[in-house]
Amino acid sequence: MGVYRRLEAQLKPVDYKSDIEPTWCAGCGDFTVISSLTKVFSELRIPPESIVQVSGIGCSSRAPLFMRTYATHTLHGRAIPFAIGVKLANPELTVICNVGDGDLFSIGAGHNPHAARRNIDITVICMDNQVYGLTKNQVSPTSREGLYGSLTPYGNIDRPINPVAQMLSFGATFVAQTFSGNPKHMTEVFKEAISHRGFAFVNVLSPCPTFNKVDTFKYYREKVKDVNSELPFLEYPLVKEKNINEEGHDPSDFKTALELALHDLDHYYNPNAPVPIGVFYRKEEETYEDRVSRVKERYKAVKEPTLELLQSFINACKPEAI
Amino acid sequence: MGFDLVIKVGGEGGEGVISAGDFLTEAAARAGYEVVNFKSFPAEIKGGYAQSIVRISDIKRYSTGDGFDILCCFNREAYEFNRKHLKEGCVLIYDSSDFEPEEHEGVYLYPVPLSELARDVMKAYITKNVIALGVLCELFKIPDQSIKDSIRAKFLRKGEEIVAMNYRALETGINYVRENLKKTDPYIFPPPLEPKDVVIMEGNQAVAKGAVVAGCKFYAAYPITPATTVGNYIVEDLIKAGGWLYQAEDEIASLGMALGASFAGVKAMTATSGPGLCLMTEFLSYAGMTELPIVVVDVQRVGPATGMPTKHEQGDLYHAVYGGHGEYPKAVLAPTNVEECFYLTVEAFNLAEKYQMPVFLLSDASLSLRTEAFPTPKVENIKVINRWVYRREDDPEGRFIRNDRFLRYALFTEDGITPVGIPGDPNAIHAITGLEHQENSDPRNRPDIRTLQMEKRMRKLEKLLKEDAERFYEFDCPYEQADIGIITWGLTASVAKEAVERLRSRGARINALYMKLLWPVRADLIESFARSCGRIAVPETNWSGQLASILKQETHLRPITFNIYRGEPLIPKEVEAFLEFLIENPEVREGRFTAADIFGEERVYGLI
Ligand SMILES: Cc1ncc(C[n+]2csc(CCOP(=O)(O)OP(=O)(O)O)c2C)c(N)n1
Ligand code: SF4
Repeated sequence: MGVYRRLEAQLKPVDYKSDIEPTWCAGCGDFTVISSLTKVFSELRIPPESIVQVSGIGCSSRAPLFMRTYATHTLHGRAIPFAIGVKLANPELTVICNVGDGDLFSIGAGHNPHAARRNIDITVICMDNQVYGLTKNQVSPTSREGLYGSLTPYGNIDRPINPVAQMLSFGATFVAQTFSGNPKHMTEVFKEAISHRGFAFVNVLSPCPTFNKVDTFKYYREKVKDVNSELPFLEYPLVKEKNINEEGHDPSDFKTALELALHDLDHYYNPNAPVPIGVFYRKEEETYEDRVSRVKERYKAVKEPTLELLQSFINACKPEAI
Repeated sequence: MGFDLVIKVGGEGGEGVISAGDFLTEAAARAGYEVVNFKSFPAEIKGGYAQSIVRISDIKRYSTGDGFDILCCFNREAYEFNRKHLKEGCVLIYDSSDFEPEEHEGVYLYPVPLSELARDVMKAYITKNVIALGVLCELFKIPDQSIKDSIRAKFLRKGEEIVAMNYRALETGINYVRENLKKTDPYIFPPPLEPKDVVIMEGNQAVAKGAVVAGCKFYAAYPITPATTVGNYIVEDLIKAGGWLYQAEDEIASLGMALGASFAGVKAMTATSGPGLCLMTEFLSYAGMTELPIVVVDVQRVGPATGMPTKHEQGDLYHAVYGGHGEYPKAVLAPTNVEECFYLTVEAFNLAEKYQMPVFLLSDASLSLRTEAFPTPKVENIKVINRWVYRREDDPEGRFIRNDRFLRYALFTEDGITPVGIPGDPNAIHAITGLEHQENSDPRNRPDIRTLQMEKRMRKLEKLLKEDAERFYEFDCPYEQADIGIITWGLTASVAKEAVERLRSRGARINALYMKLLWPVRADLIESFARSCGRIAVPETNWSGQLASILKQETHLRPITFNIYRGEPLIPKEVEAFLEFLIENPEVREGRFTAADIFGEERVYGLI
C-alpha cells in the first residue's frame, strides 16, 4: 500500500464520508461496506487526499462518491484499467476499486486477470450481490442457477463463476472473501487487503434485499464460516481431508487456498455446505511498481527531464547520428 | 529546374526493400538534400509486394512525385506492378537471374543477377538488397561511405561480422557494375551540399518525439498496425524522461489507463488505428464529460473492419469528430507531413491541457511510414502548456470550495475552464463521474444543472475557436479572385501543394487552404476563403468526402469532391488532372467525382 504519509492525529471515520448522500435502498448490503472502509482509513491513518477510489457502474459502484477521498466513477467494467493508470502515474497513492460482480466479472472480465498477474498494487473490492441491481434485476455471472431475473423469467440456466478461485488462478497475491452482514470481519479483511503490498482482491457477499430474495443476509448469516479461525469449518469433510491445522487455514498455503476456494459455491447445490469467508491467500511478492523502478534505474530515468535531455532525443535523429 | 530524382525499389516483403530505401534516404540527407520517402508493404510478415520510393531534391518537396526515374526490381512481381509506368528516359535495374523484361523503348536497362550474386558469391540470400544498393551506388555515384555508415548504424547491434558481411555485399554490387555494365543513362547523384541542420524521422517517430517533448509521461499501448511503431519509438525516451509505457490488454483498457494517469496529474497519450479507436469510443465521451486532458493518436488505415492494415485512407475523420455518444468538446488535428507530425503532437497536448478535453491527432498509414528530413527542432523554442492546477493560495476567497468540498465543475468561469485538483492535495479532494453532475461532482439529472454544465463544457470550444484555430489553417491565396479554391487535409494536402504549384506555373488561378484543425470549424475564415474562389474543390482519399461533408454542415460551402479509395495516397498528377478537369468544365459547380470520372479504366490500377 502506498501512502504519502500517515496522519499524525487520527481522523474519525465520519471525516472520510462525503456530503453526497447514498442513493441505495434501505437495507442494502453496500452501506456497511462504506462504513467499514471509512473505519479502516481512519485506523490506518491514511490521509484522505492520498486515497483514490475508482469504481465502475452499478449500485455498488456509487460507493466512492459517498466518501471523502479522491474518487472516479468511471464506466461499466472499466474501473481496473483506470485505477492502474492512477497507480502508475503516482505509486504513492492508495488506490482502491469498488465494483460490482457484474461490473468486474462480466463486462470487465477482460481486465482483472492482467492486473492480478502483474501484481499491481491496488485493492479491488467486489460487492457481490449475485444480481444486477442498478438495471433492476437481471442475473449476473455470480448468480446461482435457477434465480429469476427480468430477462430470465424461466430461471437462470447458467452456472455461476467462482470469484475467489478465479482470482487465485489469475495470480492475485491477496485473495479474501467477507460478508457485509459481519462488519467486524469485513473491517479486518479490508484492513489486511489495503495494507497488502500488491494486488488484493476481496469478494464481499453483499446482499441486495430489493432484487435478490434468495442470497439474503439471513441466508449467509447461517452459512458463513471463517476459514482462518472458526473451527466448525473444519467439520466440512472435504476440507478436513486437506488437514487444515487447528487454528484454521494458513493463507500462505496456495494449494489449500485453491482447494478451499473450489468449495466456495458448494452451498448452491448442498444445503448443508458452509460458505467460506476469510483470507484465502496472501503472499508478499515484488509488485509491478517495484519492477518498474528497476527498469527505470537501468535506463537512468529522471523525474523531470531537462531541455538538454529532450534535445538529445531529437538530436539522435540527425543524419550524422544514425 | 533544380535537382529532382525519384528512385523506387520494389520486391518481395521481407527482402530488405524497405531498408534499402531507408539507406538511400539517409545518404541523401547526409549529402544535404531534401528527401521524402514513402513505403508500402503487405500486412503479412513475409511475401507480397513491398516498395520504397525515395525522392531526392534540392528544394523542399512534400510528395514523392508522380512516378520514378530509376526503378530497381528485386523480382518479377515488382516489374509487373510497375512496367506500365516505365516511360521513356527511365532506368530499369532488374534481377536477371529471376526474369527478363519486355522491350521498353527509351528505357535504360541494367540486368544484374541479384539473387545469383547473393546466393553464389555472398552465400547469403539476405544480402540481396545490399548488393542492389552497391549497384545503385556505382551506377549513380551515390557516396558508398554514406551507405556504409547507415549499414554500420543498423547492424552494429548484431555484431561486427554482420556489418562486415554487408560491406562485402555492397562491394559485390559495386564490382559487378564495374566489371559487367556500361553506364548509358544520364542520372548522377549530385555533389554533396553544405550539410543542413536536419533530423530524419518517420511519421510515427515524429509523433513519439513530439509527445515526449510535450511532457508526456504515460503511454498506454495495444499493438495495431500502423500505430504500433509510435510505441516502439517512444518507449526508451519516455522511460528516460521519467515516464512509463504500459502494454494494456486491449484498447478499452489503454484509453482507460491513460485517463487514470491523466486524473492523477500526468500528461498521457495512447495511439491506435481504426478498429482500436472503435473500442476506445466509450472512454472518449467519458473524457469529454469528466474534462480529462488526453491525446489520442489515430493512425488511420483502410476500413471498415480490419480493412487493409498497412494501407492509406482518410477514413476516420467522421469517427474522430462524431465518435462517442452524446456531445462533448473535442479537437481534431491532422498533420500533413512528418514535420507536422512532430509539432502537431505538441499542439495536441497543449490543446488537451489548456481545454481539459480529448484531442485527436489523425495521422495515417503512409504518413506513419514516410521518412522526411526537416530542420532540427529546438526544444527551448517549443511552447509547452500545462493544465490549470488548483492552488489554495491563489483562491483566497475560496471560490472553488463549497461546504469544504472542491468544485471541480464550477460554473462561474467565463470560458468554462476550471482548475483541476490533483490527488495528493488535501485542498482539492473531489470526485469525477461520467454521470451529469453539479459543481461539486454530485450526480444530478436536474434540467437546470444539465443545461448549465453542458454549456460550461461546450464554451471551451468557443475559446478554442477564438484563440487557437487560426494558426492551424494554412492559407495560400495569391489571387484576390481565384477560379478554384482547393481545401485539403492530411497527406492529401502535401500532394495538392505540388499540383497547385504546377497548375499555377501554367497560369491557372488557384487558391489553397490546408486545414490542420478539422474540428471545431472556424466557419467565418473558411467562408471568407471561399469568397475569394469561384468554386471549391476538396480531394480526399475516402469514399464519401468526409471533410467536404463537415464543411457542408458547418458552412455555406458546397464543395466539389474528388474521392479516391484504392488504399494509396493520391499523387500530384491526379489532383492536377482533377483541377484541370474543373477548369475545362466551368459548368461543374457541385458534385462528387471519383477516379473513374477522371481517369476511366486506369483508376483500378492506381498510378504509383
Ligand atoms: C456499457 C454499459 N452497458 C450496460 C450498462 C447498464 N448497466 C448499469 S449497471 C449494470 C449492472 C450492474 O450490476 P453489478 O455490476 O453487479 O452492480 P450492482 O448494481 O448489482 O451493484 C448495467 C448492465 C452500462 N451502464 N454501460
Ligand atoms: S437495488 Fe439492491 S444493490 Fe441496488 S441499492 Fe437497492 S438493495 Fe442495493
